[in-house]
Amino acid sequence: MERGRITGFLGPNGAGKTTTLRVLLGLVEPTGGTATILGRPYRALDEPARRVGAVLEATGYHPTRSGRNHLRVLAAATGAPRERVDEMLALVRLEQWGRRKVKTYSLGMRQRLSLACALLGDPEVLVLDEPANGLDPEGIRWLRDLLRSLSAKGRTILISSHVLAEIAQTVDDVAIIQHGRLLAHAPLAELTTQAAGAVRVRTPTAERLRDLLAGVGVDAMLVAPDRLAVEGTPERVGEIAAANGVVLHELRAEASLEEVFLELTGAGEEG
Amino acid sequence: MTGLLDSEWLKIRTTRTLLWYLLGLVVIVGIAVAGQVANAPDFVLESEEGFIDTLEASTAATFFTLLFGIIGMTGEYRHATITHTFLATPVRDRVVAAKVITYAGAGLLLGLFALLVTFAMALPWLAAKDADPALLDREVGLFLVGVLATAALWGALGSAFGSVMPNQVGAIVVALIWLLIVEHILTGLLPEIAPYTPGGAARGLMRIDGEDVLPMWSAAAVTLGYIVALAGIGARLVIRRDVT
Repeated sequence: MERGRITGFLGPNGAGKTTTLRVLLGLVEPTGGTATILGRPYRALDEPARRVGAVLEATGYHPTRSGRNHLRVLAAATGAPRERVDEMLALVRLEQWGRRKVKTYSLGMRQRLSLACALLGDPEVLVLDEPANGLDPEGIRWLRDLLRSLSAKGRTILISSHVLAEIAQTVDDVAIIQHGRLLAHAPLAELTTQAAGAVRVRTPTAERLRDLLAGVGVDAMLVAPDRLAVEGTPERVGEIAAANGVVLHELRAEASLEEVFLELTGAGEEG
Repeated sequence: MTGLLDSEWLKIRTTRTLLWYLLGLVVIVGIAVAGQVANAPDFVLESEEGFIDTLEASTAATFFTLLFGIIGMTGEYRHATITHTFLATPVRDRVVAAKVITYAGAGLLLGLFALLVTFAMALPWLAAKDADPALLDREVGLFLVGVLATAALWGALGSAFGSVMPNQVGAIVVALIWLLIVEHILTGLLPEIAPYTPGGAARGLMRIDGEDVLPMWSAAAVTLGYIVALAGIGARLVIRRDVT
């Protein structure tokens, strides 16, 4: 992971995303190998919560403790300045709710409180496991803007999610894992434009177009009955289609993150 | 470490649990004092032993502090706050140490409160009966010290035990079965080890049951031994256990 960038961490369910993040944060012992963050294992960092902030799934709150008091407990344990507690409540827009018991919070409010906990120590690295869980569309946009502004301030962010559209709009880089193995790690733009068969075509006569393209030496793959992934330029595909009277419903120079993801993990499944 | 202790103390202060324990102590201690003062004749109440029998109402505090310690440690797992706790303090031995120390303090507080309730009830009642208890007696003084020491040590013991058994219900059930059943069976089978059991050591600390208990210092040392052993095992087990 590079400093100051947002990396999306993707993988099918059960690929080991959450476990990887928990190993990274010293909560789970790896069965082999080591995980380091900022050059050292999490446990060996001085004041780790002031260097790395984390939002993890299955993190709970005492039902009768207020959100503000939960933050005060963490501030005492990590040595974060006391003023940060109210600043973070304001940042995640919970100032009206800070003194209420967490059991009265909605899922989205709990998620925002988790973000406040992660940011309490003003860390240089953020590790976020499904941070948009429970957020409404407005909350998701707010989160995206927040992450963008943190990244602009030089914070490094690792974000795991299964909502690919949300990731695609937020991240600079993408890492994809499956069965605990890294399948790809590259800038998002590189993955979507330079993926094999980056030119995407949708046409009712996909098989005919594939044969026509093959006739002039352009490789094309049928990815669905009406869809092709083509090695070439969109100009070339368009010209060939027009010359042969093939109807195109869609022609794109770039694969979507979803397409890249499904093809990569699908290939992994077969191999 | 001061930050960690602050954090643990803040955890206790920011939930309702302590309040419920204080209320529970008022009820239990109140019933015990009333049972003694209402039934025993005046000459017994005035005697040193009779007065200590009345004050024994406050020994209920030891059960309360044990449970309080167990719940303080296991509650972190029950409510899944343990993830934040370990992210803030990844060296887990320190978390266990901070809890054990904090719950010793909380236990002392609960013990003090139980004594206050006992005196607040017993003294005016005895005065109304024109009984004049031996307040400044040495035995009475040692008993009070014993109650406070046991309350503090059992708070620590509870949290140390909780670190060995993070399942809250399981830990409470096992602790109760041990104290109410297993210790009695052990005492019946092997009377010579009875003073060294956790319950036997507590009776030694509070000088209950007369002669077949350990002297106070030895009883304190035995109890401390249990705390260190359990916290040691707990810290090592907790260290190895994955938090998911």
